Amino acid sequence: MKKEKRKFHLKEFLMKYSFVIIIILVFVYFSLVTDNFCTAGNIISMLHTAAPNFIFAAGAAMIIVTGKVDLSIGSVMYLATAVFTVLIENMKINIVSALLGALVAGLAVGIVNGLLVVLLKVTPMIATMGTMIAVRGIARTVSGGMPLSLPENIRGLGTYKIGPIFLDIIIAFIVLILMYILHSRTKFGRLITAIGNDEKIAVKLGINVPKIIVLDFMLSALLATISGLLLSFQVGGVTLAFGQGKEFTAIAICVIGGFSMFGGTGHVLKGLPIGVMTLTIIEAGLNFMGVSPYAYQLVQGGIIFIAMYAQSYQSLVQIKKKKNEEIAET
Amino acid sequence: MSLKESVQKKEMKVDKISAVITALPFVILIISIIYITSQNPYFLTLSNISSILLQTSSLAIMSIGMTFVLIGGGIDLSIPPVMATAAILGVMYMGQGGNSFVALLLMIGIGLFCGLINGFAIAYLNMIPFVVTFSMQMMTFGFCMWITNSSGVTGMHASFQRTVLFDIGGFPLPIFLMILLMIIAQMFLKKSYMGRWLYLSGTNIKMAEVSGIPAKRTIFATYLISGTMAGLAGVILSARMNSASATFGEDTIVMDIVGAAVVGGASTNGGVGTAYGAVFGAVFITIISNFTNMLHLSYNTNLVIKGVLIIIFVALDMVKQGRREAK
Amino acid sequence: MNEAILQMRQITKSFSANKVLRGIDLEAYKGEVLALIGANGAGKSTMMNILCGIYQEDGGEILIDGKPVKFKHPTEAIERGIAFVQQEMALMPTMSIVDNLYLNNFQTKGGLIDYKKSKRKCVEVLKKLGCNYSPDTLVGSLGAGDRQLVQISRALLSNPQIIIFDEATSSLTLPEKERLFKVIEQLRRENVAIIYITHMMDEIFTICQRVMVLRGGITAGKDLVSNVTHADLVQMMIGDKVKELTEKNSKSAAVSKEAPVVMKVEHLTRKGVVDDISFEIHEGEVVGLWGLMGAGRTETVRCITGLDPIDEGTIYIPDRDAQLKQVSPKKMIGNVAIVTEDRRVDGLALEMSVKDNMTSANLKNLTGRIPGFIDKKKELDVCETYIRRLETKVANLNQPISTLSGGNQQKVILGRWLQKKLKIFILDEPTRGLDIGAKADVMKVIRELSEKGTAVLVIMSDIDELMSVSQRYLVMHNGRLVQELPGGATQTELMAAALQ
Repeated sequence: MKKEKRKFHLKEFLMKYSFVIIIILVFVYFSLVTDNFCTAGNIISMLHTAAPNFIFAAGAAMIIVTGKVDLSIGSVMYLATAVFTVLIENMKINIVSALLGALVAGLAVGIVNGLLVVLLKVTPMIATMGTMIAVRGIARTVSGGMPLSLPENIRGLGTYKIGPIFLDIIIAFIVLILMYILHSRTKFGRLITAIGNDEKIAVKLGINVPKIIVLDFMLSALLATISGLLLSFQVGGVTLAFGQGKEFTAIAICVIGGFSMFGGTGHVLKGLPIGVMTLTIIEAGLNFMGVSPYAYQLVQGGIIFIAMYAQSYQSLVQIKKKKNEEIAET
Repeated sequence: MSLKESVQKKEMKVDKISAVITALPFVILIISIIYITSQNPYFLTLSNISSILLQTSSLAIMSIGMTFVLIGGGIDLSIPPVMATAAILGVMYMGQGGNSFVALLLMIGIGLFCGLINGFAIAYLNMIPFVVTFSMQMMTFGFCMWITNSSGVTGMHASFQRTVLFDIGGFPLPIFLMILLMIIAQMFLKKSYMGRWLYLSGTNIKMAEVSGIPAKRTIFATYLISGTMAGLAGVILSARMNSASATFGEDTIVMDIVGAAVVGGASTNGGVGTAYGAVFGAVFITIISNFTNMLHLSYNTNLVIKGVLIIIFVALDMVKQGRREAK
Repeated sequence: MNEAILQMRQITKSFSANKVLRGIDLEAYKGEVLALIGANGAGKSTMMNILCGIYQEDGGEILIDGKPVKFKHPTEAIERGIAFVQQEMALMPTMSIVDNLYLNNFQTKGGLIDYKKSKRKCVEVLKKLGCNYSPDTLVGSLGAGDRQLVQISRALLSNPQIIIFDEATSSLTLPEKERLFKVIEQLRRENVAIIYITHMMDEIFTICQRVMVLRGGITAGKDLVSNVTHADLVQMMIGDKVKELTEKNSKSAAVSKEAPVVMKVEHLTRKGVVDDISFEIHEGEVVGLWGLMGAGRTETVRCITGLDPIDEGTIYIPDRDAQLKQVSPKKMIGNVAIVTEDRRVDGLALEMSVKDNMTSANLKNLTGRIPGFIDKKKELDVCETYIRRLETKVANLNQPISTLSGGNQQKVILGRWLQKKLKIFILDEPTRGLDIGAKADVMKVIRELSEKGTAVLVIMSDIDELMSVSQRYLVMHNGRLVQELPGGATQTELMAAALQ
């Protein structure tokens, strides 16, 4: 009986570890095809580019765990960064106040999202799609409809290194660890998972579901804010399309990383790095090969599709397996 | 009074708040039109109306497609980039000397094909509509950007454009096509048994199955329809613009489509919506855009208004739904 | 003898006009298991929901340790040491056992969950239940029995003095059941008072010391288990009504076995749910599918109609030449009419109109001259015909079906299938929640169907109602078809068969 279970199922194995395998294969492939791919320098620079992705994806993951979705991430990144840049560049306010301003702007969007979902009962997808568009408009107004650049001293932060490692990699790492702890070791993290399992039972058990959901959207907005700032430090300013499409990247990362869109599952430390690195390596690799950056989006869409299919396939397999076991027990 | 006669009386007791919510878009529309006309006396001239309706036609056709999907309880985020893909490939094909008629079929076929993939994954692989159509959106948009290198594609045949925009008494063909599609879709939804199947499946899919309705096939078909409508819209838009580009498929356009469908009475909860409503919603969205343009509001403010509008209309719809359930 | 730790005195409770409890006294003693039994709808669950603070009693009082208490909320009951192990699982499958135990009451230390302490306690409780799982095991990976134990563990965390088990064994296998009995025995020895709701007679004699029987909201009897027999309990559950003979007259005589078979089911099996069901139904016959809650009646008809997947089994219905032919369950709807157990879940499109709900299964036949298009007049005619025939109270065919009363909603569903003129009707609790008038109307429809040669397979939990229409009974117990009884069977025989 025990041995039976251990039997190696190739298809299952492939489905389960598909993206680890893909990362490795793609990495090996690009290392062979291109010259400078597999060097410490390139790997660090890939992590550097990926750092903001880790952060906003962690926020998106915390929403997806509840079985909901936040499409306003990209716009929040834009708004927070625009507010920050305008405050520091046009109003000449000190950096701490400017950061505070950015945080307030980002969190405000989070609260609005949460309230729309909890109070007005608007589907999260539609609610955050609405805020995505509206906040983008606000951000463009704030930035005067022009690209803005950051002052030199702040731009330097984007390439600031501690030893051989960029500061933002360290920040991303810290955020990831914090999110892991939040998700797996705190009441809040367990309750969002519970909501993702079954919101009705959660209400029955006396959990304050609306409060948790609003807080969760605020968390997502907070991380988007941080991520937006880091990204702007890297690129040196804010363009008009800043953050656009990041919400989709975030969902892609989560789905690839094994967070089910139905909620309740996913592991921050195991999942997000796989998701982020899959996309980053493919993007960097395609870049190295000189393929149009637009082709990357096509690939990304395909990857989500496959990841979703793998997920629904896996859950099917699990249901079947459990059923068989139950029968075996009787 | 017999029961059959009772049907003639539309509603016996109309919930006041629901009625206000339903009437709201009409009121806003009329106020906007009055305001615009007062500022611009040429607004209500035949030629301007014709040009506004032409502007509306592609949006209206896409929102008819979206309405089918929404009635079935799903959502199709991939409509705009699928439309863009169809337009781009069609125009490119013509640019390389392809036949106009084949190009037309190609455009519609591409829409149908994308809808087929969406529908299959959602109805038969039990994948979530949002994620499926969203990844389709990414793939098609990425494809458009890639193949066009994010610039416009030209090569439209003059004959293609002339035929598609053929003028009948001052009104170009797409306007008639829009009206024709609206009537056909409305007839299908409200009078045919398959239309009824769709409403029943979207309202309560379990009940539909218990009634012996092929609910999965019905849901599958809605995505085929929305894909085909996207292809058709691609034909019209590319002819109107005399080119095609990836910007046809930008993410704000999906908001216009969902907005039009919801303003027209479709619900994101499924089971409700009409083709008349979808076209009305499209007119509404187009007029509001004209209105805000007239106020010299910036593109940015326009975005804010669009985002807020859709949230308001969806939230109002939820209020209406809530009242219906409370009864 | 020790003092009763729990006393519930003269408890009454009504839901709108329906008096569910009519003054019940219940006592539970430390270190004893009290079996609470009664037919469906006798008031067991209501009684326990009041004890747990889910419902509030209309009258009477509850004393714990001799002191009166009043629970407005379930948490207050938990604080007073009452734990309720419910029949339905309230667990989060993707979360670990320890998370599930502490879900509404996480112990934190410095902002983080104190897993060290929680897990220690968790292991302790699990061990007590003879369960060796690591507290990190995901609940979703456990079998039904172990999940039940997790629920019990959650109840035990608060160190309750009184534990209620509501049909705790209904989803368990035999070994799991035995393990649960050990747990209960152990809890009893630890001086916990246990109230055990069950439908299984043998369980009462295995683990309970006292038994209390409810019938129609009153106490039908209570005693020590050692003083009663199986037969006594059955007698208490059904009461001493002797109207059985008179009831028989209203239904037609049994259909002879010679009548043609209209449906034949062979070896229908859905693993873990229904097991090897075989039977046939003849033309014009009303067959009552009888059994207690959880016996597998609903599941059986859902399998027959293809609403749930089956693992094994074949179904035959006659083809055009009256030859029995195998059909896939997926194709059964349309050949049989099905009225499901819960109207609101899968019987109605609540937001849609009376007309739309009425014709949903027959749309293809209502088309007019233009193919594919519904002939409005035909549709309205059909609606009108069946609404009048069933005496449904509808003001407007376009009004949402949700505005009708339960009885009228049910009539619309019946009308939906009557218009198709099918040879087989499967009705799952067609009278549930209806007022007396509507119930009588539904019964009339069943009799009329049978007179016109339609076969009816009917599930009803109210035994009196079932007996007033059935010409033959199939009795289920634990997912199996255990006995077939003739139409003349008495209530005692039926009850005994169902209780096994």
